[in-house]
Amino acid sequence: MEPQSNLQKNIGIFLGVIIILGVFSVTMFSDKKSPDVSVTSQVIPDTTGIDNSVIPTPPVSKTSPVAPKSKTPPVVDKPKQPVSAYNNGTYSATGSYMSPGGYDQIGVSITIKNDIITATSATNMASDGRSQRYEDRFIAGYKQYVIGKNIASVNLGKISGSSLTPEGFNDALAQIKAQAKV
Amino acid sequence: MTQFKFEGIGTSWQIDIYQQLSTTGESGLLSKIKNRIEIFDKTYSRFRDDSLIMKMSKQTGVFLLPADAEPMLSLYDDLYKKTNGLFTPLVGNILSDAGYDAKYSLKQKKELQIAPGWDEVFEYKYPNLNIKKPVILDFGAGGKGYLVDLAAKVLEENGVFEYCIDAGGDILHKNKTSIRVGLENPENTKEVIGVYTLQNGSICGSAGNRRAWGNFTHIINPKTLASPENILAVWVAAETALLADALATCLFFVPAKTLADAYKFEYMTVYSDRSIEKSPNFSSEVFVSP
Repeated sequence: MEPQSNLQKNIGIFLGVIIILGVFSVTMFSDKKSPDVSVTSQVIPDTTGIDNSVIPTPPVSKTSPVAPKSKTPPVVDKPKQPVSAYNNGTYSATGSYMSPGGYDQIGVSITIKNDIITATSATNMASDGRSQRYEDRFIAGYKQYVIGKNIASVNLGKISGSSLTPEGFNDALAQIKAQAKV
Repeated sequence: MTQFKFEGIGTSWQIDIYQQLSTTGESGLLSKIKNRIEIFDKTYSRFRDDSLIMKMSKQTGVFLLPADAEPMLSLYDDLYKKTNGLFTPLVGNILSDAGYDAKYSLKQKKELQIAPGWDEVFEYKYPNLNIKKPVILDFGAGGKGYLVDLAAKVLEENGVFEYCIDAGGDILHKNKTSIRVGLENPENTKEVIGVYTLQNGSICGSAGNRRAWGNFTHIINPKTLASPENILAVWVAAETALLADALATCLFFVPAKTLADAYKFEYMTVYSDRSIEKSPNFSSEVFVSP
């Protein structure tokens, strides 16, 4: 009958849209990207003043400007150097998203200093077990991991690490290692 | 620039003096610094029989502490309370029993005992330390940093105000221009994982990689009696080397926020998965995987 098949069709479309949105959100998570919508945000202004330390940004960034491509003859005016885009401070936001499990949230916080993200953290705010696991994976996945660079390749004045140990200790260590060998 | 290089308290020291010194001034100054280090070592080292520390480990009684004990004991007392006993000098017996003894036997001798509370073994009322139960006190966590500060005092008493003291990677700097301090990769000492910009202050690093044997490193939790496995290295920047050094050990056992209200410091922790946590104003560039 006409009205029922229409209703079924509408439900089908509605479900289809939800599933697409859900798949989209889940895909976003597994690609380690941050969710879209921000519902609430608070700003804690940083009043400690500007310093010139350079700290690399983490891999995730949705704010890098992309120069528009042009097929017209060379541009006469050079694009302007962007002025500081963001106020220093720590910003928190709660992202909301729709997943197959329903409506869920994730907390994200970033600290900006001189237009560079100097610290980030994320908080698992999922209510659904599956979403909790996905959020955990996201949170674990986006941490910064350090790598080493050869000392000779870096311009350094000093090095700080665990203390150099006395010869006596190193000798003793070598002895017991030798004893421990099969 | 004058540069002093020598061994002291079991590690390599390098002191850079950015002011002009006469030759006699130079040699006089180096002797004074070495003397100061020797006095400190003779008081606080558990690696020599003639030290005050070793005397206190063998008999009960009231011992008179030297004047320099006050700042160090006072900080230890405060950190002991704030970390709920996880930062304590009562790790001497634990370290020794685990193998890190005066002879470097590096073999566990006996079952480790959980560190006692201060009240059980001594009563501290400066300048007296009343030892009720003989124990080996170990001030390794903050002692080196403190000695760096004391060496700086010697420099300043002799008219030197522009210098950099590096005691095996615990550094105190005073000068108009900053220096770049490489943060040693705890997993490969030929590499650095970042560069810290230091100016007028101290940075101290702590890691278990060099003094490691069997199941232990020289950092042993006094309650679990195990060396922390989740943290590879910690750096703390603070105004004095005493504070930076002591806090670097604390952060192996407690989160930074436990101490952030009481002390002014910046830090970076490298976890065993090589992820990092650092305070917003820890002024370093860090090399991260892309």
